[in-house]
Amino acid sequence: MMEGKALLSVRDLTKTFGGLMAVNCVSFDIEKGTITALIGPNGAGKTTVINIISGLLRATGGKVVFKGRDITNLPPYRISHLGIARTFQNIRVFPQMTVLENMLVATKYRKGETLLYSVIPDRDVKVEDEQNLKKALHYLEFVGLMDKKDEFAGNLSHGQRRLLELARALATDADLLLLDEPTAGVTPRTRKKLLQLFTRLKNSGKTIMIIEHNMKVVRAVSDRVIVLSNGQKIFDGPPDKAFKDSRVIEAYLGTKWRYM
Amino acid sequence: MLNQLLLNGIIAGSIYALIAIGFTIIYRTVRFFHLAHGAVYTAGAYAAYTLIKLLKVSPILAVPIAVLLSALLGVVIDLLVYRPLRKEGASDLVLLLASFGAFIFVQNLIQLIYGAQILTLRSGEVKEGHHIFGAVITDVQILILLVSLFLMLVLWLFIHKTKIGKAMRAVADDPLGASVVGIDPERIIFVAFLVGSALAGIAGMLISLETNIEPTMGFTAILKGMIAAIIGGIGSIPGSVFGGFFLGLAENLGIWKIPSGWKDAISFVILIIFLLFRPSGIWSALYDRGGK
Repeated sequence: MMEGKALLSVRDLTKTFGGLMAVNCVSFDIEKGTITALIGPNGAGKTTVINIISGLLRATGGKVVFKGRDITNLPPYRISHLGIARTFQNIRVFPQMTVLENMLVATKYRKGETLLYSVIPDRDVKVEDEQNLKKALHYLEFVGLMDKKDEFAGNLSHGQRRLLELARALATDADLLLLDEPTAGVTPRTRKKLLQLFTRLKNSGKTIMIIEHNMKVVRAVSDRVIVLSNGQKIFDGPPDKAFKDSRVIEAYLGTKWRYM
Repeated sequence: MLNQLLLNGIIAGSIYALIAIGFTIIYRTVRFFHLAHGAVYTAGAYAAYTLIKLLKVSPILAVPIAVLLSALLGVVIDLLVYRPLRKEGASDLVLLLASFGAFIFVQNLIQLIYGAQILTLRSGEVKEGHHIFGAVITDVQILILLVSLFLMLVLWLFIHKTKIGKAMRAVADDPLGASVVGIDPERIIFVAFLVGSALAGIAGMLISLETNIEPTMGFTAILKGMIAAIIGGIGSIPGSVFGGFFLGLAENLGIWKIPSGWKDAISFVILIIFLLFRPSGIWSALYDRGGK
């Protein structure tokens, strides 16, 4: 696991809230083109880890290295520009913008984003506009929301908003996707679709880290499982071994189950 | 008489709407009431006075300079007052108080430089207006109306058609979501202060062509702008336009039957009625576009 250059390296990551140790010296590497599941009981620190990687929370200690570059405590928009995108457990799409606008706002511009060039017509900006529109439509097609592109995102169903949030994350050109419970609250049909999408993304070279409570989902898509409990990493390995590991079983079910 | 009151209402409304739009654009990105917006409005009027009346700059040159100065004043207030507080994670209440402080500071600065007396930018004799539908409209009033409507159109295009406008709407919808898709919130706040303050400056300039100016003129202006923004639906740009015209018409039609001294009271009664019965404003009732 440690050989070669990892896409993302987390070293001794620590986060305290007052006296509470939410994340305690957690280290792991993520290889390119893999799906890693981050699991653990409620309050284990999973979302905190993802929040720190994506820049929404400052780490108390430790380091996050992405593509060989130290990104610890950079602001979220910088981390997004470097190629990490994320989704949220309680979906965050822009409700008062259309589905297509949600996508376009996430695409990158080099020139068209400056105040000057957003008012002055310019050939380069026009080319960028066309490329970004193409990209936005491509990913809408990918998640199957093409027919909803002119709908306000706030009018979408829960499952459709999950799909849109994933498509929007892809529109940022991210190499690493951090997905916080992407299948929570969706219908079995949408869940199946999402799992297929994850596998397709992996096959196209994207790297995914996913927080998941549904063990069927974990087994179905992940190459590797990292288990957190009380802010500490207690397991790191293939999924079939994770569910046999005594520490993992203990963390989920309590000690007395060990002897059953 | 009714037609005249309607016309007066529309003209007052267009000024209220300009102030309310600028106030709203800023509110949507920083989520607190930027009261010093009223001082930027005053500064716009004084900048025009200084350039045209004192420095004898031609209006064609003076107007863009005054707009730019107002825009910069807004940005400077943000950079010197709000931004350090934001970095410290100050609460909305602290920011509101700071904005009140900034408002008083700029207002007193203007008073210190120009004195408290009333000044007049208008020059020459008062020309008689044009008669339409039994009402009288002056050239200046036509200018106010055309400029306001033009700016509203330009702003709509800016917010909906440009990448940066879309980014501004994304930040308004969900600042956290916007930051993780690569939008720098500080940049958007900067643009919001720039654009919003330019609008306030233009409103101040337009009104200085119509009436006298004084250092305290920004206080009524920001109150009316805020009321317009609230009755339109706080945070909504079309709501602010609607609220501005609604307020202007209500004030002016109200004095048809009651003495004109009650004009300001009418606005506050409307505000209280809205806060009690429809705090989300008119716009959300007329046009519900998904979510929130």
